[in-house]
Amino acid sequence: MNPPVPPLRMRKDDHEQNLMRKVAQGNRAAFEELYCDYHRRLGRFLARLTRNGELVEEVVNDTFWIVWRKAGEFHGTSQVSTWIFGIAYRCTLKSLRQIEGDRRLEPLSMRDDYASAEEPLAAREERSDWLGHGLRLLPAEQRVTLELAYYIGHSIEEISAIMDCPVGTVKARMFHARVKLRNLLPALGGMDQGHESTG
Amino acid sequence: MNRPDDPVARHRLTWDLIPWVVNGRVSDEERRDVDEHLQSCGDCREEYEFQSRLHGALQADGTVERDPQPALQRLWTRIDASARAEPAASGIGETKLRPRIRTRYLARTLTAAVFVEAIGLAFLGQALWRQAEPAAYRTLTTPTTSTQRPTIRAVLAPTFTLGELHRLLGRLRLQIVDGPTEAGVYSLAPAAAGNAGANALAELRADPGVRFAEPLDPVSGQPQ
Repeated sequence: MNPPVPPLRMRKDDHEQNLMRKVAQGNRAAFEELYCDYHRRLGRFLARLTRNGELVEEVVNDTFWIVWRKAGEFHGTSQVSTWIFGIAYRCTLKSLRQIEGDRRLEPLSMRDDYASAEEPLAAREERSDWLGHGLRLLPAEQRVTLELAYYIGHSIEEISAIMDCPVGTVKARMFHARVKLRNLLPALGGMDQGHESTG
Repeated sequence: MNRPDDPVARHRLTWDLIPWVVNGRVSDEERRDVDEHLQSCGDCREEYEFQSRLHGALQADGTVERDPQPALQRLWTRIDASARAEPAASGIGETKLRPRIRTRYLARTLTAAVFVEAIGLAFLGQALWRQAEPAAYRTLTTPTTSTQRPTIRAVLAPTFTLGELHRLLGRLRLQIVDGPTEAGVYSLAPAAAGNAGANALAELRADPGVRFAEPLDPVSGQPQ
């Protein structure tokens, strides 16, 4: 059963659906309103995936380039934010692959088991940096899953739609991300390093 | 969630749902089930607390926000340049129209063209039927006159209008004696008013509206 969309989020989506209808008719003011709102949200989201500020802006603009061209194909069957974040996710993966050749984008089954990431970061980093470092040590799919859930506040089903993968895959990615972060961020959990719950 | 009776399965379900309990994106029923399990499971309680702190830390993490205007202006420049670069669908000065609007306009125009063509074909059919009216009926033994035997077989471009076809056939003193077939093949013969021009075939082939034309044997009606 899909969880209900919170009232505030629903009102925001109603407004964004209205903006999308106008964008589909070529309304530039509606497009700019949508762009400015998502520039902030996407920008902060993407900044966690790459520290390259120029790349962040490039991905935001690539995303909205598609939004402008494809607005007429958006029929309101999903939330606007799910649709836009889905486009942004695909643009991000494409850009990261081009620029980084990021080994973290490889499927989990192809990866070594993060031997280099097992050393806890608490001893050598300030707490404010642990989170960023910890996240960067996760494969991109796990980072994105965590960000979409915790930073953007998407449900399992919405993340499944954004990342175009089954719900079970979303849960699995989140599971692996949680286990690794518990090892990497012991100070945040206030627990001994190396503790790992299997659930 | 479908609440399982098995405590291990319930533990696993709760564990999977914890992040979405933390971010408030589970149903009320799921929330109640998770709360109930947390009462009796220390591991899940600890995990819930850890994930709550992680959620809070991610929410609080300050990233410098950039002014969106410069990037937006670059995007408009890109969009406008792309719109200018795309060839106009027609000569009505619509280069500023967006692609899907142009596509929609083109589709409507083509639909209207097909509709007009259908009406024209109906009139043409009626005219041909009237032309054949003097012979109120034909039997298999009725001999055909030589002028009705097709001498040329032609295929026209889909964009070729009926008016253009009439003008072309009139100029070459040809008439349609059969067709178009399902494949769009017309069988042409010299008009009753006179012989076709000697170079009718060459002129047909030279016309941009005619895709294909070949001579037929006047006796057998087969390609020469």
